[in-house]
Amino acid sequence: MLGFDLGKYRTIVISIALFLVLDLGVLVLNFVISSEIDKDAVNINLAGRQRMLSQRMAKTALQVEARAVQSVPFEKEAEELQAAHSTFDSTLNAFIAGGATLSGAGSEIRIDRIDDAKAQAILGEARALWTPFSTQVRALGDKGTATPEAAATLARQAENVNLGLLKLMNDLTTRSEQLSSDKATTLRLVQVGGITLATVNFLIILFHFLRHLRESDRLVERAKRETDNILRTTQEGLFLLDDRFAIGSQHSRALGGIIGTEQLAEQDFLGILRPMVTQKTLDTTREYIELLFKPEIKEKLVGSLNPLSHVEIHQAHGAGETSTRYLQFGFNRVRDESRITHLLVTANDITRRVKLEQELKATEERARGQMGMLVEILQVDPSDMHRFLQAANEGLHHINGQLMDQSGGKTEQKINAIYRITHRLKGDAGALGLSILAEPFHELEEVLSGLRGRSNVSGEDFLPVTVQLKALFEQLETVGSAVNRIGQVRGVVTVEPPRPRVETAETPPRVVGLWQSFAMQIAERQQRKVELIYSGIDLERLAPVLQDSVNGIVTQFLRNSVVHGIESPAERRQRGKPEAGRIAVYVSQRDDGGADLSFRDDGQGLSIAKLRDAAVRAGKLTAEEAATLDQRRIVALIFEPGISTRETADEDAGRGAGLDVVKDMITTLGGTVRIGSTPGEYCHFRVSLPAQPEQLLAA
Amino acid sequence: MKKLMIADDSNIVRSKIARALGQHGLHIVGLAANGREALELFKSARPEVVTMDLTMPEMDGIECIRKIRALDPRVRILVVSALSDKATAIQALKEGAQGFLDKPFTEAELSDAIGELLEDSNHG
Amino acid sequence: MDETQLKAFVGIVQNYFDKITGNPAEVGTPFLGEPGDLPIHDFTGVIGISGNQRGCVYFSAPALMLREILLRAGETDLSDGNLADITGEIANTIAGNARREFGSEFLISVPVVVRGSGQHITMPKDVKAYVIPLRWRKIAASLVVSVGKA
Repeated sequence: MLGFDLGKYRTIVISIALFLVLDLGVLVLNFVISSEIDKDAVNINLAGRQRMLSQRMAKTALQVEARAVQSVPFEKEAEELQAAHSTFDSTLNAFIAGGATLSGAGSEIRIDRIDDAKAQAILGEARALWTPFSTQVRALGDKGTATPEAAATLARQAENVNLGLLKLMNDLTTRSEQLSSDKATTLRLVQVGGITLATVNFLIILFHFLRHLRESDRLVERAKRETDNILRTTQEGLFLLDDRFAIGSQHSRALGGIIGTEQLAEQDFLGILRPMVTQKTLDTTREYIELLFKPEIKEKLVGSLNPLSHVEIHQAHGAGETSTRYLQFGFNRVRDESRITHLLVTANDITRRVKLEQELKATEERARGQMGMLVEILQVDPSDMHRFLQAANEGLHHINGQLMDQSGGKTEQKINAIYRITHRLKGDAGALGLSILAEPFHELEEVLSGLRGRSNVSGEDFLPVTVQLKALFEQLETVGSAVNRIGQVRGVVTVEPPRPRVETAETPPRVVGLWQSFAMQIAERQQRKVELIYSGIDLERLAPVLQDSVNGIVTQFLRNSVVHGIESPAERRQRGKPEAGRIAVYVSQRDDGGADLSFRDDGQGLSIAKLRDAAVRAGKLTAEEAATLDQRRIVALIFEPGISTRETADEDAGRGAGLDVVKDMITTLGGTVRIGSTPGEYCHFRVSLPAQPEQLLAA
Repeated sequence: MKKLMIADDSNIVRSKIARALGQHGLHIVGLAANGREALELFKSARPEVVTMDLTMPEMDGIECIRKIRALDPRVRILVVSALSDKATAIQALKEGAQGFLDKPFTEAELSDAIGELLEDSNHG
Repeated sequence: MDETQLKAFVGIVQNYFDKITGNPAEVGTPFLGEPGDLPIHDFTGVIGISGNQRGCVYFSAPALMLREILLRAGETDLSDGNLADITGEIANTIAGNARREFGSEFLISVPVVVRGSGQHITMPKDVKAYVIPLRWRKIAASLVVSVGKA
């Protein structure tokens, strides 16, 4: 109906419109009736005048008669008579049919027919009286002469008519007054009615709106109570921050305790932080908040830059006493339409958690130690590892070279050069998943970051750099020797005849996706097609050490399977196998908390002949020994270091490092591995790992 | 298919990003080992998406971002760097990068970050 | 050997120079040296460290620097014997302060002064040593800390 939606204001708009219509109606009626009453007033006046005119005419007629008897000319009287006659006549006609007449002031006015039956009846009588008299008056004319008889007749007639007309005009006046009074009554009624309706309307509006106002007040009140409850009860610090860093008018009660000061509402957030954090953190925080107000920046992609995600704060408590706590602030954009109006800030005191984490980390590091390092190393591609170790060693010597240079070049350049090398190596270690090296590189980088920001760096300030450099050299050496040591352990391999396996399927754990993509990558490089099927438990149910170990072992088996086991699609077609090689992995938890792993592919199986050749090529066996050795012992050779059936080395295989690493791991964990294989059909590894000491301790 | 350039001084990281994002439907048009190389490659290949390390020899990432943005303000830049210095990373975002990914990262994290970066890139 | 301990050694040497000569020694950027390739000047004062960690700390300076120090200290006898003495004194100061600062952590021997090449100094074999270059009135000297796990 309307071009726009009135929504909740619909009622009030209609009510007000109704009110206006009512008012206007009353006004119009008032106007119309008032003008009627005005007209009645004129009529009453004119009717009065008719009485006066009638008497005048009678008087004048007598004067005319007197003159006529004395034969004196009477132009003046005749003229007066005519004038009175004319005015009376026109007024009478106007009363009866509407028309023009002269006003009291002598100007011409128009009046309407008197629209009333009784009045018209009176007027009808008046006309009957008037018409013959009028004819006589007209006949007299204004000559000013007449016979005494004619004048006498006129005078007698005038006397008679006058009496009748007087009465009739009196009646007319009375009637007109009556009509006017009726109209005045109507007018009062209309006004009273209008005001009554308007009042009713007003009451409706008032009632309606009071109800609505009360309703919305109630809702606002309830919402406020809920907000208050949330803000009072939540353990988290909550507040809104605007783009001028001002805290909003409300915040959660817990905020005061978390930040350690109660005066927070509408305060400058940075001002509150200033005494607790370093200038650098403060500057970074300012810039970070500014960034969050920029719509082109992706909120999800800058979360990790939050300088207050884990901030150490120091607070003085008088008398030189200070406390250190850890706080965590989170920032989320608050949008109104698409504009970023505020940030919702959450604050938590994470001191307890940080302390626990630190303890946990220390414990974990002690527990994992050597094992963790082995697991990390096993997951790295051997050629990547080799390249990295070499690059890292060169890099460290390079850094030491920079330090050794005492020629007094620019300190800043020295720091930057060292920083770049460190940063690159840290990135590489991280990319390879070698946290054992990424962490110390990270620490060195932190030290350098600190130096970078300073203006006057002395030689002494480099001490922590040198100390960390030494630690890195040592760590690198440890990793290097672990890499070399892997593959030195023997005697855990047994070979058994093939046996089918019953598998129970569950939802594939996340790590399976990684295995699948890993297998696909190698398959692509080796021009193979593979399909990996997992059944068994979610690896996360295993102890962390076993999780990592199973993952590492499977990774190596996958590499081995795709490179050595699965045939090319053409070859598989020829043998009547599906083009894609099938790899089935099954993991179950042992009753003692250990793990069983079954890994099976439907590739070409182990080739005794090729293994013999490889063992001879690697110098592990003489040709004679190889020819006479028991088949099972030959199969076990695949776990020996330096044995590969591939003649050329590439990214994936060929240096014979892989399964020896697996055996090393299994040995370290106190487990066993069994191999089953039928040439041309399948190869099946079954690994059994017992529960680990850390596990037992933790249990 | 969007054109992608990878700028990182580590060969290992470059190939890791390339492997992950090649599958993500991005067409790799340049691999740069330092800032200067990145700028040159940018001028010739005009990539629409760039992953940028911050600490590189010759010309650092921040300067490179500034120069690249001057050449093409619509380019989408993801800073891929180790979180050693939040202030530097924030500086990079102020210079016109739109997102940040912490090193080391998984392929899934990288994919997510690129997805987020390219979201609403038509009217960003 | 951590940063604090190294800093303490450096501080001791600096303090000595400052007190005796009124000119503090300038410290260069410390680096790592291989056991067979450590800087040795004309006179070297060595203190041995044992206990939890094993190794040695030595201060090595050219005769030119030692003579300057003696002159500054108002000494006129610039014989080699006196040069050895002043080297021993510096090493002694290091040992004494070190004992006071972390005597509970390791045992610190009485210093020995060695002249010329450092063949007679016994160093931990497979440990990289911290070399802290010193410079005093444009003359270079070295403080070397070489400590490994026992």
